[in-house]
Amino acid sequence: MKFALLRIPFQKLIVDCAIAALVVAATVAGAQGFHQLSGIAPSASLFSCAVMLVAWSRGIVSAILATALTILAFEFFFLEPRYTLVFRLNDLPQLVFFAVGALLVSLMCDSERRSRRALQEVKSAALANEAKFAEIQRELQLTIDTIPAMISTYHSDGTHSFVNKVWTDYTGMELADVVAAKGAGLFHPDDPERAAWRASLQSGEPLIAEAPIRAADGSYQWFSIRRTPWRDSEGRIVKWYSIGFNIEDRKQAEGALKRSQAYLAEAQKLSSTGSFAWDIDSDTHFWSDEMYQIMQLASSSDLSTDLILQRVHPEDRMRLIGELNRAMEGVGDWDYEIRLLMPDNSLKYLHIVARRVVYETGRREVVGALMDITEARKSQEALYVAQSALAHAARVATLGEISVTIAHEVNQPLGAIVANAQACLRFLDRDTPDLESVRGAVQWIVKDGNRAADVIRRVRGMMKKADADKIPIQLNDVIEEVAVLLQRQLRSKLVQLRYDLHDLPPVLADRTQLQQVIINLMINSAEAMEHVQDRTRILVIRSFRKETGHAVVVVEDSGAGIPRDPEQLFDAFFTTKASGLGMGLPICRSIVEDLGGRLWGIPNTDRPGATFQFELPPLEAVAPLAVRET
Amino acid sequence: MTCETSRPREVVIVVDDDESMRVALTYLFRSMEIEVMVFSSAAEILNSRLPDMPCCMVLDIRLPGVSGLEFQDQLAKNGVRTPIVFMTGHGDIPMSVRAMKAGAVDFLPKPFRDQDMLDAVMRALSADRERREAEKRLSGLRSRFESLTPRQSELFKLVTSGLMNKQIAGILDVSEVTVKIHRGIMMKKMQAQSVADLVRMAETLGIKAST
Repeated sequence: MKFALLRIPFQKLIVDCAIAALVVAATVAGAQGFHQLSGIAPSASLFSCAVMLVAWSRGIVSAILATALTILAFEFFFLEPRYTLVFRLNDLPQLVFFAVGALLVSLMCDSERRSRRALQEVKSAALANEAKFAEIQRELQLTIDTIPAMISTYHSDGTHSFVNKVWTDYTGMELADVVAAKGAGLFHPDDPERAAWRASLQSGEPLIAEAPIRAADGSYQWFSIRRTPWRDSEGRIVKWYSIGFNIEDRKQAEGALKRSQAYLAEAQKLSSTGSFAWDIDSDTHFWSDEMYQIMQLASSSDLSTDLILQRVHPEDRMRLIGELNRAMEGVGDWDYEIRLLMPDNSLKYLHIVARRVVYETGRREVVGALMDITEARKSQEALYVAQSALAHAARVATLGEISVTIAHEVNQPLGAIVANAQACLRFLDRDTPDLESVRGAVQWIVKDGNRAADVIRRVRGMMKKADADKIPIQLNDVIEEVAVLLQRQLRSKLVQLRYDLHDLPPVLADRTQLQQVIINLMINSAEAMEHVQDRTRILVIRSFRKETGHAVVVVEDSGAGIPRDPEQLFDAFFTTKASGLGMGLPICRSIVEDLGGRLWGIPNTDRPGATFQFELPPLEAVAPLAVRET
Repeated sequence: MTCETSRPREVVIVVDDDESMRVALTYLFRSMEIEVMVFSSAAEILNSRLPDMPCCMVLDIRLPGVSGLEFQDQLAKNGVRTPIVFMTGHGDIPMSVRAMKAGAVDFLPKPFRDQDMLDAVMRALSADRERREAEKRLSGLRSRFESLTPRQSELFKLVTSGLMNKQIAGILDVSEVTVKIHRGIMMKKMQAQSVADLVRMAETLGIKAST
């Protein structure tokens, strides 16, 4: 590389030297020839010219070399003694004079050459610049034409001075057309953009607007338009630059988004469903509009977990805190119900379904939906109330029917007895008592008395109900069935149900009757806890096998308790309930006793509440009996 | 019309589905020296001929098949106007009210006092007796009216509408003497003493004066 760098000036030096030698040689040859022909000695100025030529064409180095060669050649060819290099002192001034003159001329020529060259360089640079400029302009034009935007410039009076290709392609008009039309037909006639543009032209304020612009096919598409003025040094507006971006897709997407948002909001409103997101780590909440509606909070409310907890029913707060903690611990899915206590003291039931989401960034969020099920719950409860009322009414009606039967069936013989007895008195009161008739009537009195007693016996049998389907039954199964049936009712009374079930021998009984007994005991227990506020409402249902082999079922509550003498609870028509009939426990007892078992209740001694239990003999103890009966 | 019976014979008709009640009522009415006929159902009584003497019915308001009230309606439709005393069980007050409105004499809740029953039955029997006498009078009158010749019955209507003999002669286009003769025969046939008697008869028969 070093060589390469060195070689260029070295080569140039060789060429310079060669040209200098050649020019000098040619000049000497010319002068020699002319001298021999004419005998006139050559002038020093001729050689000055040669040196000048060399200096002009090759620079100062060649000129010095040419000067030296010329002095040597001159000495050799033309100074006496000729054809020797013997130097005479008297020739010195002439030679020095020549050398100085040649040097001066060389310097001048070299300087001229340098300036000429500089000029040439400037010229070629200018040419190159021009080409580059043209290139840039082409590129700019291309850029302006390919930018997906409508670009145009305006004169200060608002007439178009330039439009790009996108502009002409879109509008289908050339610059000349639009200038001729004075800009008309571009914008929608109703569009406020025209007024804004006129205002901008007047005030010189930049224009920022969105407006529909007419396309070549006559349709309109939305554009975002910006126009900025360009002022001269005195502040006068010379030109307006305008750029318009097609935002039709955005506008449509915006419309679609707005629509889908509206649909979503409407759907949420209709279904009373709100959606929410909870960023676990930053404890930030995001709610849909309907969420605010359901929670009855202003949409400007500053959401926080505390604020939400305030809305939740006090009895459910711990539960929600538990659920939130579970979310932090990383549990994935939720589906639960919770109650709100609104400022007006009304209750709201919410069904919440949520899912935990962990994003790639590590952000943890709980996303979910919440439905206001108050109405559904209310109608459910109304239905339940109606059902129990119906059941109660049916019980009362049955009782009423029984009493009607009793009244009718017993009244008939009673009426006959009274009539007969009165007839007897009349027969006896006669002057001659008609004893024969009295006998006949009294016989009927006896008959009717027995008949009345029969009726009473029959009715009692009817109330006891004939033996239903007695089959071997697993009591624990019945307990579980009943617990499922009562689940909702227990939950609505906020009673916690606990099981403590052990293996039981099968018993021979009617399933429905056993269900009736267990339901009765459990509902009694739940109702006994209705007004308990200071302790947990716990209903324990326990079953075990006694040493005697009997199956025992225990229902224990933490309720108001029962009197010291619980036996009065088993008297018919005794009740502590406002709407009770007082038939439940007596019927239960008669069912259990009919099955050969026992049923009793005792107050809890060491804690509040009462315990009811019944025991039934195991299947193997009653089965032979049953066989004998049939 | 035998001479032994000092008073017209009367009978109480008892309808009750309960045998004990029928027997007891029989004893009771016999002890009151009232004759009794017993039936166990409404159908039975509708199918049999009722005795032609003052009578009344003692009905249980709840009868098998047809209820006491329906039976009451049926009797009324058949033109039987025998007075009815109802016996009711417990709590049949609305039915009893309906029965009374439909013309029952009384209703007695079971078990009843014998005196109450006796009073009710006596009231019913005397009502029936009066009714029967009134009916008897009416039917005699009707048969007398029907024995008149067409000319005489026409004359009856003209006389009872208050016309003078002269006017009647004009209308019938006969002489006044002829009218007088026919009028005498007609009044004799109707067993009327005066024109006033005749007018009362016309009212009882429901005959309208014609002109």
